[in-house]
Amino acid sequence: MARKLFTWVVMAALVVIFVGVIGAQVMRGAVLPADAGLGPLTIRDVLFYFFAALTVGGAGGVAFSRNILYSALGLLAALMGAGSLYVFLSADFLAITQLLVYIGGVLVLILFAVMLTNRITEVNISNASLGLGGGAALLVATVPVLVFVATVTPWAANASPGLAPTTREIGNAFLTRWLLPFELASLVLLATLIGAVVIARKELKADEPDPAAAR
Amino acid sequence: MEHATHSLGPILVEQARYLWLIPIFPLVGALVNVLFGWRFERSGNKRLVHLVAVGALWLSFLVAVAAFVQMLRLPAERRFLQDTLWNLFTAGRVTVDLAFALDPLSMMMTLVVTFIGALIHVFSIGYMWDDEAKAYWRFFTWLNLFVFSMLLLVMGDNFVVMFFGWEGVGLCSYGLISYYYTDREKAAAGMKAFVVNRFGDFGFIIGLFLLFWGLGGAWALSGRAGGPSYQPTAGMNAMAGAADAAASLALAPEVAVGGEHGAVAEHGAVAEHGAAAEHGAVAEHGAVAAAAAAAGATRIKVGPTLNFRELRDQVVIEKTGIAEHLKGQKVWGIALLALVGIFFFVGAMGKSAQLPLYVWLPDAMAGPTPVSALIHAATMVTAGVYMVARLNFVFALSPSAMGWVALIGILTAVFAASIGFFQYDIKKVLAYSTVSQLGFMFIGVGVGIYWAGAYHLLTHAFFKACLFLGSGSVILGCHHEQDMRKMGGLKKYMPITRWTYLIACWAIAGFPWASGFYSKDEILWKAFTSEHLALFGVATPWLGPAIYIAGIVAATGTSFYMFRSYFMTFTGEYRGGAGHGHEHGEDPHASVAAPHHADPHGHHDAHPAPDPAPAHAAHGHGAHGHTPHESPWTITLVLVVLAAGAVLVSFLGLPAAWTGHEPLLEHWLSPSIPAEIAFAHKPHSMEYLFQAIGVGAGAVGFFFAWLLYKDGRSTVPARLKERFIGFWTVVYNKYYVDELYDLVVIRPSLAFSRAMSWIDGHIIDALVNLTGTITRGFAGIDGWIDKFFVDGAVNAVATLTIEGGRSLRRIQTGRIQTYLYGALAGGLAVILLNFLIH
Amino acid sequence: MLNVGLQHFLVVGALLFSLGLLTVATRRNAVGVLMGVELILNGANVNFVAFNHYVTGGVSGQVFALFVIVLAAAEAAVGLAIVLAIFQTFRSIDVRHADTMRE
Repeated sequence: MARKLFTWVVMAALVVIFVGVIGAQVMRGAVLPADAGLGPLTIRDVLFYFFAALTVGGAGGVAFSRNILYSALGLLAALMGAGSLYVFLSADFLAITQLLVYIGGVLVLILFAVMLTNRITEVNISNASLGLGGGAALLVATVPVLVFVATVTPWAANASPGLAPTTREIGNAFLTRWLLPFELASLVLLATLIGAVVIARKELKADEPDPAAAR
Repeated sequence: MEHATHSLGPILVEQARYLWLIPIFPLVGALVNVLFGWRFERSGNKRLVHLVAVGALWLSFLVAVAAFVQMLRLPAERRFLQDTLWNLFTAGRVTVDLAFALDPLSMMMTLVVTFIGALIHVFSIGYMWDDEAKAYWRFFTWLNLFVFSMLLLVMGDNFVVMFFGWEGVGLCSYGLISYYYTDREKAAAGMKAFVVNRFGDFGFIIGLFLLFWGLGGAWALSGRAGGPSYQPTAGMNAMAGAADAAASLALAPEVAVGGEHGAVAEHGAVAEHGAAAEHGAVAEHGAVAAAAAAAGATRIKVGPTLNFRELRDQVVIEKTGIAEHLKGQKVWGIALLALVGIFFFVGAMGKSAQLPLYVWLPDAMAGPTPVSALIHAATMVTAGVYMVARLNFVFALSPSAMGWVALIGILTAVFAASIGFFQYDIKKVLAYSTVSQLGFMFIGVGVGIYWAGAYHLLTHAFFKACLFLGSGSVILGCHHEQDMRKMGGLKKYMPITRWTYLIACWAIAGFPWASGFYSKDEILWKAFTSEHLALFGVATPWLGPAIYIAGIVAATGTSFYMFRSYFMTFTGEYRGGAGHGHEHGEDPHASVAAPHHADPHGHHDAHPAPDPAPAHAAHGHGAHGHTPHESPWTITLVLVVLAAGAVLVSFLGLPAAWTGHEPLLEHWLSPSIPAEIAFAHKPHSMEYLFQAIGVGAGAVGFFFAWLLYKDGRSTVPARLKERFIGFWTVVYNKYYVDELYDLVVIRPSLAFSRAMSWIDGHIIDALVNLTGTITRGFAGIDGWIDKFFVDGAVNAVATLTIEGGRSLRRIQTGRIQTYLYGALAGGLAVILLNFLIH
Repeated sequence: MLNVGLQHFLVVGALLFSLGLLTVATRRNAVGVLMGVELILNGANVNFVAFNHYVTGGVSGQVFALFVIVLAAAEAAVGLAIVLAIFQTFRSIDVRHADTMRE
């Protein structure tokens, strides 16, 4: 009960801050184009941070949430945030595909699965063998390393590349350069379709022992 | 009559390849009888048994006579017949052959043994025919075996064969004494004889070892021996290796001596050749060689030997220096030769029943009478005398040994004679008489008059055998009665026996014209005139005369108790016939209450019938009176022959004082007797005087016996006995010597053996068990170690593996997430390492 | 530094990846694990697109990201089918219970 309240309060605060900041800028007569700065920050940066926070927050929800449903919702947020970030990166087709396929397909599938299996087990985060300590250790082990690599390495990066629509190029690429993988991917999907059906089908043997009951 | 020592040469040997026949006949007879005798008896052919046995003996006698004839034909100095069969063994330098040798002494003995043995075998036919033990064949088997052993003893040419016979006669004596083995006392008597003999044999062996060792000089290499040509070297030691007889001979050091008499002078050159002479380098003797070759130079083997001839040659021929060598040796301060002599004499003490080992002989009367006659009168007991006579040259070197022999001899003679005074069993009387006479023989060989000792042996064989067989005849005639108090008046029933017995008594008492006189007187005379005696290394010139006086006393006693036995047995009235009661106690002949047959002498021949016919028909058990009867011809003939022999043999020993030349026997035996003993020269008149004293002693004894025992009417014996009952009891019980031995020797031995048995059972077995327990303990510890450490180690390895696996298995949780962690950790590690290294 | 550049996107991708890894490693629910896998894939996608935009021109990165999406979808389908099969076998979707391969 307190958690819910807390969550709501935090979310409300975030919204208020966001609106306040934007409003303040608007009130000051800032130009809304993305490159307009907010001091050192531009709107673009702010928006980026917002969507990045959404993504990472969602991921955190997936990782740390006790309820599997909350995890699914967190996944939703993470996927949406990732899609938004694609927009920032001039991958408009990809963003939409993310939305359609990932959120509309995979996430729904996951939700189905959650629903189908939800009442059977109780999920909580503590893994018998490793638990929170193991998780923390893992984070400590991977995050700094990766972040360090990401920030320190002198990437040969363009300062500010332009934004352009990509649909045409992607379509071209699929049918010229990436044709074979494209076809193979369709085969894979076919196999997946068949395979999933086969795997999920109930066994016909009647005398199979019940492993869950045997524990 | 004295020989010059330096002129003695080595014995010259004559081969006689048939000598082995002499002992082989009795051996074959024994074998036939032991294998088939019982069959003969069962199948009704009992005669075959004695035909075989007696025939074997007579054949043996014939061959002995043939050897004798051959010997007679040889000149005196060549009288040595040798028959070597095969080599028994060779040890280092010593070779021992199965070989027989006859020199005059052993020839005499052989003739005695075979002749008297044959006669006694004939006697046994009659005596043992109806014997209750029903083992006629066994008797003759033992008897033949005994004669075989005795012949080995006298004919053996070395100590080994002689000792084989020595032991063999002991064994056969045991077998014959214990002939009635079902009777415990008789069996015990046999054991006693054997055990006491063993004491003697032990002494014999020790003496032999000492002599052997002394010759070899194991510890006597300290100085040069006195002889001119002989030097003891290490080569003397018998332990040098040799594989066979020939090699052994090659190793033997030899000394060259002249072949014949008087060749001494030329051997001066030999003196320098010391050690070289041992290898017989004859060539160096230059001028000597020619003379020596002409004389037949011989080489004498020196050093340890078991062969009599070699021993005699080395010791007697001074050139070898062995005699001096032996004389110089001492064992822990005592002269070696004295010890050798004494130890050999201990052997003789056992075999010939001298003090203190005489105790078996009276008990040996438990055997059948022919056994007593043959073994314990004529032959076995004389083996000791023979041995001393054979080794005369060794004894002669040690006056102490001789003194001891003579001393023990006289002590035995007197002691045994005294016991014989009061015995009632006729065989016992004769037994003690034998011991006493053996004492005389030892006096003879002790003082050094070896031929006289041997002569007394010969005469004793005849008259003692005659006496024993006569007593056997008497016993048989009185239906196995042995107690003289139950006899008497037998002269009218058994005349032949009576006369032969009387002649034999005459002989033993030492009256002239019967041979005992000559031998005994010669011994006593020479004892008186001896100069060569010593005791403990100190010369004892008084010993000779002392022996003489004691000897006269013993002779008186001999005469007395022998005629006592004669008078008690043959004169007066017959006191028997009230049954077979007789004294128990000292008389082991207790099994008399055995069934008598209706006709105990019913075999092939008719009786000479001095017995009245009703006496025959009245045979039966002792419930009703029976009369004694004369024995059959097989018995009486033998008695007559022996009595005749006892008289005729006197011609062999007629003293020089009577005939002017040396007695025949002395001349005959002289080649065998190289020892030179000094006797004082006394005039013949003194000799006649002493002979008269001897006769007088015999007459005194006869007189008293006649007085006290003739016709058994005198009450003097009974009254004297009452008066001196204490003294009488002591003597009657043989001075309690047996009891003393029982106390001092037998009981401690038994106690000792019990103690040993206890030690064995408790201590040794405990030790063994302890060892077992300790082993078990160790095994337990080992097992524990094995179980806990070894198995533990093995198990630990297994456990380690299992537990290691079990632990490592937990990595495989089956959960993907664990594997993921693993992969991540590994990847991270790689990255970090990579980062750090660069 | 506050101005968004390549690194920011990379950091976001890294965070997404780490959290996804955490989810995969710690979640007991099998579906939760699959969600973690999606996060990982998304993190990778973000990286791809960021590099495509800032470093490499053209659309190769995006094409790759598209393929990833396709395969992620396929994999999610199959994965969930497997979860259902496991559920039928073990009567539970707790990943700890599906350890019959354990030694």
